[in-house]
Amino acid sequence: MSRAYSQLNKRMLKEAGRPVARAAALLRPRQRRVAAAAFPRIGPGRAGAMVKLGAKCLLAGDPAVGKSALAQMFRSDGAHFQKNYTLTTGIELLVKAVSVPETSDSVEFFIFDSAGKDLFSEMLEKLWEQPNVLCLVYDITNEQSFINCAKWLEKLRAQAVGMHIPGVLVGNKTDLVGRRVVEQKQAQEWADKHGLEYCEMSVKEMRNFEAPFHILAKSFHQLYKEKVETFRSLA
Amino acid sequence: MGAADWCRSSAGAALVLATSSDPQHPAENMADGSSETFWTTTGMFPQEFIIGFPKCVKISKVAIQCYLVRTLRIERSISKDPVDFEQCVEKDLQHTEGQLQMEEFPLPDFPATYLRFIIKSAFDHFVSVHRVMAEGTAENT
Repeated sequence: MSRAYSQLNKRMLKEAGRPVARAAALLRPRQRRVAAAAFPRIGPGRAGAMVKLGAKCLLAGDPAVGKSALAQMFRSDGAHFQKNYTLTTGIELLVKAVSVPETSDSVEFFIFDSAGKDLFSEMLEKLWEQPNVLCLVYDITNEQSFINCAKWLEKLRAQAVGMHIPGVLVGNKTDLVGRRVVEQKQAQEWADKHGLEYCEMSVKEMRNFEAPFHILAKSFHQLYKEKVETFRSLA
Repeated sequence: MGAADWCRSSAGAALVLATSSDPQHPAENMADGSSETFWTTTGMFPQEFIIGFPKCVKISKVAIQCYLVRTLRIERSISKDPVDFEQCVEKDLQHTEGQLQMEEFPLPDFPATYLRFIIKSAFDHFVSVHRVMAEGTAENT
């Protein structure tokens, strides 16, 4: 019996490069052979091979700058703008995948939309552990929300000391042209100084709301590629 | 049979589960007997993989070559299917900048049909596992 089993295993492992399909994983050997045939095989090194990365994204910033509006809009592909303000208490989790430009890979974001009010910050710490990317939002018509980004960044970075965490600074509410108090140049400089990417958007007018996540997907994917090169050099 | 390495595909071992998949760095790379090829994780932790033996093996030692792994737990099962795992060992590994982590776990006389490796946390966003090894003797049944 064990000989037949080992032969079966050998045959299965001959299909080099076959991803271990999650769905097929826990099947018994005979079922596995059937399942393996049902899953498309992608050879190693072949162009078009796909990787889906997973990233925990912390979304932070002062209350009412538009964090939840951004998250909802992004998840619904622009179909859903929150007209009425609701205070987020604790954390809301949203999941959404984006493809990485010029590759066949994608990044699945697990967006932790955090409460902006300090009141809830203590219980956030636990949920913020082991982040992969950061999205820091402020309101271009509210100078204090921009100033407080320093405080938010410090808190977020404390979650992953010694690790490089890609991040993006996002200025929201560009539709309120006459009320702008934080200049683009000023924000861009601050972002550069702290190793963050920068973009502006108007969630309300559906302008550029996908940009932060596309920037983060690209950075995170780049990080993966660099890491794989490091792994390759170790042997 | 002597104290062979049971985690090699040439010895009949099979990867029955891995929670990350990059077609260029498949889980089977951990069982090919080479440290040059590896499996990468692609997402958040915990991550895990399960390796199955062709028969019940009395393990004496388990070894792993990996990079950037922080907390590792090893479990075993003696069932016919990969269920009912029980913990063998859990350890916080040292960060070894620029070189592989080589860890050995003496597990005297642990019978197992499956081994499950759980990477609970890491020193970076991604880790690699280059090789797993299990020394032991086949149980004569």
